[in-house]
Amino acid sequence: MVAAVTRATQTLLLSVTGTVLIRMAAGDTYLNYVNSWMRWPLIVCGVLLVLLGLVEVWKVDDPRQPDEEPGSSHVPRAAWLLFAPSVVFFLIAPPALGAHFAERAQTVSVPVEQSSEVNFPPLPSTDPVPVAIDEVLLRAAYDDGETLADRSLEITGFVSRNRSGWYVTQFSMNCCAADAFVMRVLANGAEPPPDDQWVRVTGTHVSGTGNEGRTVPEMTVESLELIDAPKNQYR
Amino acid sequence: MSQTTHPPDLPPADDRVRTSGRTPVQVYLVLAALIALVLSQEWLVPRLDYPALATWSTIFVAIVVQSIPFLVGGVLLAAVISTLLSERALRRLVPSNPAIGVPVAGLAGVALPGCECASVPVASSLMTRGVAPSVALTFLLAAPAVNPVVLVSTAVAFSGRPDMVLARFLASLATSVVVGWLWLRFAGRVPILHRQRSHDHEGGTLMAFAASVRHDFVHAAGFLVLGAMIAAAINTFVPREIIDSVAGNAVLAVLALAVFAFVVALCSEADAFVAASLSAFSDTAKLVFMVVGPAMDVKLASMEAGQFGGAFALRFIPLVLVVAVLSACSVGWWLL
Repeated sequence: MVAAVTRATQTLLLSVTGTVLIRMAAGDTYLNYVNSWMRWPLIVCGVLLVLLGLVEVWKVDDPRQPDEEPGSSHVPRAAWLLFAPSVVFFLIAPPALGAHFAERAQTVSVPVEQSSEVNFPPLPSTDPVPVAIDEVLLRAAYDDGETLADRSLEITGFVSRNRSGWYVTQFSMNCCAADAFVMRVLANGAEPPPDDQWVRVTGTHVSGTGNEGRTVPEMTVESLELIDAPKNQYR
Repeated sequence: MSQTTHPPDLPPADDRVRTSGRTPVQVYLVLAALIALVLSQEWLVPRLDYPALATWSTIFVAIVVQSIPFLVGGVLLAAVISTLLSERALRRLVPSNPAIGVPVAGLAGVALPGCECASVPVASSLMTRGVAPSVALTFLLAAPAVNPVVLVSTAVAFSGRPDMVLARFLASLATSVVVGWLWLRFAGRVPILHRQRSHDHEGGTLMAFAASVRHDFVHAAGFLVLGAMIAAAINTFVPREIIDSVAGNAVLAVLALAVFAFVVALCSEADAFVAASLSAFSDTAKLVFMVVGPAMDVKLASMEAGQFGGAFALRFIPLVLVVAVLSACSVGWWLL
């Protein structure tokens, strides 16, 4: 039998939740879960929740109002669950989505319309040229990788793998981690680093792969460098 | 659970729960438990290092963190309705005849850009201020589904497909209005719980406002968390191939995406991108996914059962699911 949440415990519930939100948004941790524009809404919400908790402390101290005042003591027991996100946040310290989810997540779809004529400008002339994974996916899908041909590409992402081999991987996110898509490029010709390790890979696109978004683009790795994970691991 | 049922036009029963004896003990026990957890963090974190658990908790925390600001926005608006808006002003805004009020509420949903979790406390506060349940429920269904933010994100996700945006708008609006009318005609006697609000106005309007915000938030948030736990588990542990394997069969595809929309509980602003990526499915099935999701999902079902009671949820949830699927299928057959 679960006890009803008393008003004093509600105060604790609100303050703890608010504090966790503020703590998340004050650092970079919130980027593991939501978009960067959520920072200020989260801080405002956190402050508001803490204040709502404190309002009650002030009221309980008021001698005119006895403890057993009517009203909000009818709190569903489900309110206890509001402790869960804070506890999970502290105990598991959930990281950004990684290799485990990449194996089962929805692969990003590149919408290719047969009729559309898309002309990509040539890549900048630096050598090797840094490109985002989504750019590689798009260029490979739309113009048969013409603008990628014979170029030395530099891409970054974390390591994930499946039966076909290992991938340089990134998640794209719209609202929160629940709607993340996986974007990946199969890496040929190099020993795989451990899962979830961030890497910067230089190599060339294997022509024909990733065409029209039906297959995963492949790359022949020329050099591979282990790097630290960026602050925002999503695109 | 201690809760009270009352017809909307009677004053709420004044149940009092005496908590004075328990108050100090419980809060100190909980505080001690939290401090113990924080202190043992160093020791516990490495022992909980499983990839599947990490994935689940990332998605769980992400859904909660994404939803809380919208829920807070919703309870603030609900508090404005229940403490600041006068009954007269509300009567002028909402037509007195519910049969006309329903479509008006559906169109009013265009004006409130927000997440579906915001609309549950708003609908509840509308009902307690005397708005007909069918009208408030129509608003609850329409607000997250047909607002401009959702339509723009649909247009971005399905670029070059204005018909998809129009179909989504029409099917979602039809769903909310039809459910409202059906509720008005057939479900007038279904009891709807309203958790008792505190009616103490000591300390003036500001305190009443704060009490209303706090009350609504504490009531709804637990159910939101429960829904997020289930949705994160589905996301983490059910492989997507199960869904993809039925894409070829027209009927199964529609049903599969309706169930998928219910269990994954995405924000209505993001679900169009997921729908667009389900490339193996027909346009109608994708439309079903986008119409069912904002109207009903596991997170909303949990919040509505908590807010309005089990008898309500047992009728409302299946009704919305059936109407949403039928409406999306007919609009899809007509337009797509």
